[in-house]
Amino acid sequence: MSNATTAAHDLAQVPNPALKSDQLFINLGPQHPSTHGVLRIGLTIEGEVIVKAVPDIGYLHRGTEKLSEVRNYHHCVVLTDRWDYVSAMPNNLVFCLAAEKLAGVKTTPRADALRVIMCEMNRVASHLLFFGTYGIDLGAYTPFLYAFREREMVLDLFEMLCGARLTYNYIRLGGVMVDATPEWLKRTSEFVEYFKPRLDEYDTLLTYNPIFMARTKESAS
Amino acid sequence: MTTEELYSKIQAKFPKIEKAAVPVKDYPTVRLSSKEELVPLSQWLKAEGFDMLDMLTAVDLLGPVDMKGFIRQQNFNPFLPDGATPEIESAATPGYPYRPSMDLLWSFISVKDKTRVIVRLEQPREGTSVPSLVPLFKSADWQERETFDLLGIKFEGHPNLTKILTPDFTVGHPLRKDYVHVKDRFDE
Repeated sequence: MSNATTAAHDLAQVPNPALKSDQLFINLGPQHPSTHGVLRIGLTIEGEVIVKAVPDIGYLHRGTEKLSEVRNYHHCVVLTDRWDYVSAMPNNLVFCLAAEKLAGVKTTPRADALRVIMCEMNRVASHLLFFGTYGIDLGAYTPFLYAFREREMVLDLFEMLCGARLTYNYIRLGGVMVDATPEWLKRTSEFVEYFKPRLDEYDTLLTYNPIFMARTKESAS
Repeated sequence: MTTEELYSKIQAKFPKIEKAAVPVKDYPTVRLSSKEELVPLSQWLKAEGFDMLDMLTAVDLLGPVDMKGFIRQQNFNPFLPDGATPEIESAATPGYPYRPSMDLLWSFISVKDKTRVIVRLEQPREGTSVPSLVPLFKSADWQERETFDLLGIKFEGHPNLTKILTPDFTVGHPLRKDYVHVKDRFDE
């Protein structure tokens, strides 16, 4: 790093010749890995004014490309679960579609249908997590509890079929891990019917919530 | 602009740049003959409406992976019994032309026309150095830093070519095929 003039770790050194006498270096972060993405920003401040911000990313970089170099295609499906760990199904799907395209493999219509159902269910679970935690970040705690009540049901359905609640490894090369049972299909249809009216509930809770409105209106536009 | 029109326009403007033998998916793909052509071509593409640099990356074509780079887990097959030696399969694909070079790739998007053009360039592997596109496209900044960090490719004229993803104590560039992992504090 001979030419590392503005990397965040260089600004953190004490004493720092790059800082003027009335300037101060502070670290914003890094946040804990369970927060929404780990980021550290090296801030140079003058009083309350930020004069320089150097973002330091890479805390969640897992080196998937390097890991894939010594694994075969089946092993890599497991790695894809970890890309976006709250929506593992679509990650599995895109990898499997790419590998199947390379190999010229066709999947059966039933496997295709199951893949779509699982990806859509995972999308529901993932969006519930998004809007619940978004509310928390803005100070509205209640919608989170409602969102996680329904998310729990989706995760139970996933657990019933593939045994995992977060990293499923369900979509495999050439198809899926296991066929859906009649019991699972019945419970899934029940969930879909149960879920539809819940959307109105979320709308009531969050959309015109004064806290939510005050903190999002006319920001980032 | 159709793919054929784009090819003929590029051919007319830059006679040395030729259509790539293997396109990336079905996108128009051109291959540069030298790195000096990159900046003029990018300027021309930007003027033609390809106003967004979507992605830039590179591939190390050195060939089979050396297992020495993975000292954390010598026995990578968890189903082998204790004491058995893993049979290391060569990652070499028969018939593939491995060679000591870096294959670089830039992807330009025209937001208005919803089209994309891929530019490729093969450079020698040792001391690879290509012109930076940061003066033309702001989005090149972090992507060039990433390519430098993981593959060790220098971008001439980049304002701040430093490591971006790997920790500051990582030695070497991990995506190079001859990378050997040096034990650090996370290996203990």
